[in-house]
Amino acid sequence: MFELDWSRPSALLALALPLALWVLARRPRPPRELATGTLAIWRELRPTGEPVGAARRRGVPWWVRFTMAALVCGALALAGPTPRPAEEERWIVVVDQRPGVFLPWVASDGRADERTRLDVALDRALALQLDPAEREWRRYVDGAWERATGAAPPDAWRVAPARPAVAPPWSEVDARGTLFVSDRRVDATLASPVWSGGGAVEGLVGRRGDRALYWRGGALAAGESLPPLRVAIDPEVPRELATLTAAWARERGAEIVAEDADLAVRAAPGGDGDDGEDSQDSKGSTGDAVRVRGASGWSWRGAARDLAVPGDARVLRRDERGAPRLVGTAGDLLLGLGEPFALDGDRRAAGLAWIAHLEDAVPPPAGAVALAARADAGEGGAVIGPDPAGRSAPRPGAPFAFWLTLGALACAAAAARAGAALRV
Amino acid sequence: MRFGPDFAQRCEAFAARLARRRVGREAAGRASVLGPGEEFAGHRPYRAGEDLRRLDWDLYARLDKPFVRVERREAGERWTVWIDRSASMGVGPPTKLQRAAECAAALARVGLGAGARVRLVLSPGADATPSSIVLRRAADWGAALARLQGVRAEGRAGLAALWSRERADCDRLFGVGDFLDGDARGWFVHQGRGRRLAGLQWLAPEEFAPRVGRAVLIDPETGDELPIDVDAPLVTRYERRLGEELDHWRAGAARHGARHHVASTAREFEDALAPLLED
Repeated sequence: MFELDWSRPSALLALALPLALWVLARRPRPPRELATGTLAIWRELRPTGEPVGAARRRGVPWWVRFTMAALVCGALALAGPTPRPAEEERWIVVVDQRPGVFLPWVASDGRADERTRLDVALDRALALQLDPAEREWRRYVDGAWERATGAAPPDAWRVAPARPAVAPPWSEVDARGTLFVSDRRVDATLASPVWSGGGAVEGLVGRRGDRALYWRGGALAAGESLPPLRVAIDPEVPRELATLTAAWARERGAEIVAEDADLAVRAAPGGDGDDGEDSQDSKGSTGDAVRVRGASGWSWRGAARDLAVPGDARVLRRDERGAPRLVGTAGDLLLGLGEPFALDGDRRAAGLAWIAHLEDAVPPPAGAVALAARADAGEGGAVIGPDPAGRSAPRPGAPFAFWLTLGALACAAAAARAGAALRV
Repeated sequence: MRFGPDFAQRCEAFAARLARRRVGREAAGRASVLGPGEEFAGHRPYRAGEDLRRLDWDLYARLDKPFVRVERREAGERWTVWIDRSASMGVGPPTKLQRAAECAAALARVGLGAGARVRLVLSPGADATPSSIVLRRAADWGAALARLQGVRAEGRAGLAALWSRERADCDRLFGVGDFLDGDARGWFVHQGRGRRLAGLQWLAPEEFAPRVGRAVLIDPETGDELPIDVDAPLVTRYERRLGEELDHWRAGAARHGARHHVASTAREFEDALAPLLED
């Protein structure tokens, strides 16, 4: 469906006419009184008459309905509708929301700015005189695209989301008429990258053990102690992996909690193998024994669990048939295996592989930005590629006013006919 | 009830048109309602529009004034026009009484033109007795028009009150009304014994073709009301029933050798009256 622009929007006020006609047609009115010399005949046909009230609300006769339709069509035609440029013909602006874009922008001379790198990049994008002016804005948060339209993005997009975002799937939206707005230049084939650049911004980059890790004076340094890590282990997680997780947590001084965890280790819910729907990424039926093999001969063997991959998650392990069996984001590990489960081959290597995933999944402390993102982003810039025209097949222009006028005339004719038919 | 400003002129033209057609029919060898009698009764002045063949050329040569011959039967005829003035005749517009009065006046004009003596009788209406207007000469016609203009549709007594009480002491008897208030036998009993009967039944357009929708139907004579939701199927049934009623009158006329014509008040009096006088 497409939207319309109106060349004479004030003519839409004429839509009040059919509304008024409707109200008039629906208003209660007593039945008309009619003198006749043939009452005896009517009494033969309806001896007792009708139990009609004095002021029953009337149904709207067809001639009124057709007249209303004619007025509506006429008013719309008068307002001069024209199809608004299709969504595909607007510029699409993809706004990076990763933590690095919310760092303060630092000029090449080391002067800091009140603006963030994203502010600078957006200002640069907004300064581009690109037609049409209407934009569609997109950002990728919590594994899904979020959209907005207008001349500028929503203000909320200039503030870091509560949950740190991952990189958008740029290739999905690499098309003509698309701007990639970030702090660094994003490689694109057809899209137009616009970036802020900006000098290095030192600060918190992560955790090391139980202490915060800072990038200061060009080197990494441990900072203050962090609160103990809280780890939740789903009961569905195979016993061997749950035991390993608990041991790893104790070693790190982490707390095992049931909820409100910094790191959740979960297993996909088990099914009976009949009523579960496989996700697009999974192969094989739920409950089948599958194996995840490691490079050094170890393997995890367990019952397959139907695993849906969240949009912002990375697939960490796949089984022999290519189905994802372990996916993760910062603070979350989701396993597509259940009991019966076993570590096979080199059991020690198999266990260490699991612990490596736990380490990787430990979320950074609040406010941490990866060292790579804090590094110097260079000079800002923009490379404008092809515009949106021709991104989709041109939509045939619909002569709306013509068809509406034709509809109005047809309805008027129908109204006249219906009115004449009242006299039977 | 009022006659239009050109009503008298229309009546003159109507009478002249009938006279021309009568001559045409005579030339074709057919009889006419106003057909010539066999016995010479006298002369009367020629009127514009009359067939010149009826002019008495000998008299014209002697007197240098145009006269036409008048036969005995036409000259001595007595015409009576019964007019329904009951309340139901007020249904219209145009009202049935309007058309009935126009017809009565036109019949009087035609009758006087043919040398007949004409008596207009109004049904009692709200009065106890009928009232009548007698026209012997053409000069009486203007006064008759004035009296007819004062008539109002009222009361319950219509044509049936006349045909049940009045003596039809005439050669030609016309009934003008809606014929909705009585037994047809009471009307047709007046046909025969040298008297010719002609009925003109007027109905209002809405009585012929009622509109669909909710209405309260009112009998103007009794004040009875009937709330009714008129839809298309009901209209169809009504029209069928009304058609049966009208056919009953037509069939009765045919059976008794009388004439009967039904007309909508949407039509002019000339169109409705001509079939009664020309056929």
